[in-house]
Amino acid sequence: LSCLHGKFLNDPKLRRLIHSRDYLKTAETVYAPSGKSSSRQLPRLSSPDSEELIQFCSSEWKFRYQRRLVQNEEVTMDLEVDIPQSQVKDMLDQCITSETPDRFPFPIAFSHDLNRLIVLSSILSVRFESISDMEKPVFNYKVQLLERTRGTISGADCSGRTAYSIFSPTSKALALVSRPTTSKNRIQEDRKIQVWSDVAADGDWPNYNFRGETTSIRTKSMFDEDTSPDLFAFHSTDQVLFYIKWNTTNAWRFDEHGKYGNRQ
Amino acid sequence: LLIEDLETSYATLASTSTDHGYILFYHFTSERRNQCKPYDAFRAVLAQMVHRYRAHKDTIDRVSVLLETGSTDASKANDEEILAAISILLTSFSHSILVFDGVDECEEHAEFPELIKDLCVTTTTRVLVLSRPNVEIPIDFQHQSIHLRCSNSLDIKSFLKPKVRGWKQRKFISDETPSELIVDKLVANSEGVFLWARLMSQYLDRRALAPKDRLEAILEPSEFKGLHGIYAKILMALEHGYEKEIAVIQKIFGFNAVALRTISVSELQVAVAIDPGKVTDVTSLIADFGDALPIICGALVEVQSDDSVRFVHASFRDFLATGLPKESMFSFNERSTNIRCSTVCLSYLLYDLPSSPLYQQSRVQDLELLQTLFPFIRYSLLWVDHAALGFRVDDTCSQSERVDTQHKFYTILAKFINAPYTISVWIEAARAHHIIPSLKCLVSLSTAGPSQIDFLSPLHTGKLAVALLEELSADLERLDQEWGYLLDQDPSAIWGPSITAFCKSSFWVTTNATAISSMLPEEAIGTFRESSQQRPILIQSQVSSSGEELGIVLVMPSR
Repeated sequence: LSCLHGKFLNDPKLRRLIHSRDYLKTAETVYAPSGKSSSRQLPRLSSPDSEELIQFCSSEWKFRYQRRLVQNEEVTMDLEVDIPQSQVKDMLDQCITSETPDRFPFPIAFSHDLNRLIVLSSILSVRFESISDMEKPVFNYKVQLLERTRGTISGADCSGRTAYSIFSPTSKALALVSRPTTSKNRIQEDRKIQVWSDVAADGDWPNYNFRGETTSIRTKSMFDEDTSPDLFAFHSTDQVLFYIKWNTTNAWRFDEHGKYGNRQ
Repeated sequence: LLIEDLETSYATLASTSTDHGYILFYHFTSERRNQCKPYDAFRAVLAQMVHRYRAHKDTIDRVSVLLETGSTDASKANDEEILAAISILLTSFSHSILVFDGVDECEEHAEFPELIKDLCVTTTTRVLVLSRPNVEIPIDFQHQSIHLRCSNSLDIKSFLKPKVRGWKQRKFISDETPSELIVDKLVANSEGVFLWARLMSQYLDRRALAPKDRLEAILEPSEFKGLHGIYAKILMALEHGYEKEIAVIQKIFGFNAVALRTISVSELQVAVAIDPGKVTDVTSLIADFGDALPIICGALVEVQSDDSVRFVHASFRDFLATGLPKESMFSFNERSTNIRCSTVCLSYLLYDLPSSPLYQQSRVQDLELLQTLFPFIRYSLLWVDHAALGFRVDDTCSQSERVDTQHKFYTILAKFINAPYTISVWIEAARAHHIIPSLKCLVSLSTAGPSQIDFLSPLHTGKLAVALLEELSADLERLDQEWGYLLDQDPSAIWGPSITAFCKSSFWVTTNATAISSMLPEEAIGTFRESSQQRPILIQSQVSSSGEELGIVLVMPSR
């Protein structure tokens, strides 16, 4: 019961015992059954307590990326990458302050050829290189953290509120999509879309730069939000994003030397 | 008739007063073996009362408060709560009448009058208890009891007169003995028990008896004393039948004695015809079975108006179980009879049902049609319960009989387990009847220790079958867990592409057209997943646009 009211954090001995797995387990146990019932008051942690809890739980997270051939299940690549603490903190902060604290939004997106992967705000790029015809190709990889470039672009905000990410068909661009967290609007449905594109020369490791942000809005669908179609789409070859704004469709060219032009 | 008569005379009184009671009743009958306890009657009476008084909100509130403040939180009221609720209602509404019929078939008929006394003593309730006279009435109540011995002798006489006349006409009895004397003798010996008179007349109807034998039975009936006497005599006569006839009677008695629910004529007809391990041919069915049943069984089994079959009286089952010498052909042993019934049910599933979907559009659309096509299908689903019941009770039969019964069961069971099509049909049939196929109760006996289930069987088929049974049981649990929702909606889904591909088992029909394998790293599956603190969590996977590769992302939180 004391756990339910967040008092367990007042005990310094207990604090040392809390790890992220315990948090996940506790959050699932405490919140999951009640999460479905809107009538029940959710227990809340005080602000300092939640900050402290997030600090405890956000270090030493990793993700593992494994690729296998469908034909024979042979593993072609298997690697583990550390996830920056700041990104995990953002994610935990987002979930602990949300209406569904037992759910952990963990946006991940693959490029179509699987050679690029975004986990939270880290982009993993993979290349296979053949040393000789006789040997199997070996892979190299590079990680780019989007938040590092954040400050350089005015208006960009990678604060971890991303709901999901999508690579363009060519993998040269990337959209980070977020939903308004406090929107009570029952009529409209909107998405904030941040676009990042690869500005590296051919042959170099990819380098995604922030290209801008727009909002797509339409009248709320009768259907479930999770199953309704996206409000935007990348062009299959060009650096163009099509998105809906009320009853118009807009095309945004985001490759024009950092400037973006909108056409209806 | 009695209830209707009472209700008619009560109707005027009840309409003039709002707190007037009603006529409430219960009929004990051996065909509902699991509803023959005193509290089954009280539960039924309470249900009638609650229904009758549903408009009296205050009274219903009082009863519901009583149930809610009870120590138990179960949704079903316990015995004490039921008595307390009836007591409240009987106090609130005056001049109720309780009618209990067939108390001689109540399992605890000695305690029953005491319970009624406790319930009604402080109220204005009147109680009518009807019973055959073979029940001993507690001494406190003897002064209140009326024996119909004298009152119904005229009825018994009227019943017997045409019978005696018929016997005389057919020369079953010599003309020298006056009919009046024969009727009077029989009426006197019946001691007011109509059933005795009926069974006696059936006995005397037997063609194998000489006129002299009949007269002896009528005039010197010491061996026919009471119901047990007449049962013994009829059974003795049945023992002289053909071997085949005796086997049929044994099956009929066996099924009736251990039936887990009321068995219908058509079900029993098939059950009797089944020769375990063989296909049951239509020509094996006894013609006009319903009409033939009382004749075959010497009137000891009767067919009810709802087409169900039952013993002529509950005491006959007890007589078969305890009143006969062990060597009697009809002596009934609970363990072996249950195992035999299970064998018959299994044989039906294995040999008499098609090895293909039951619910193919062109053939079967609903349960009723399924029942018409396969009359024994519903009862055959009880094979697990019969087997579990059989192995649960202590055995008192001889070693050779025990080995023989169990060997037959294990042989059929081993065949059943190795017949994927039959198991698929069983699953489909069970789901169609809203039963979840499970072997838990049987498997729990084998794990409980050697005293519960033994493997007596000359070819060791027992051990083998039970070992496989455990595996099948686990697979059935998995099936229910993963696909129960689909089978609930569509029982034939057991043959469909989803279950045959994704829930493979060596026991039921699966498809070879698909192969399912987990692409997850070993650390994320199996027992490791359940226990390890280092367990990775699968977040997402995706197939490359070329379709050649699969990318899997797992997250490993800190510790």
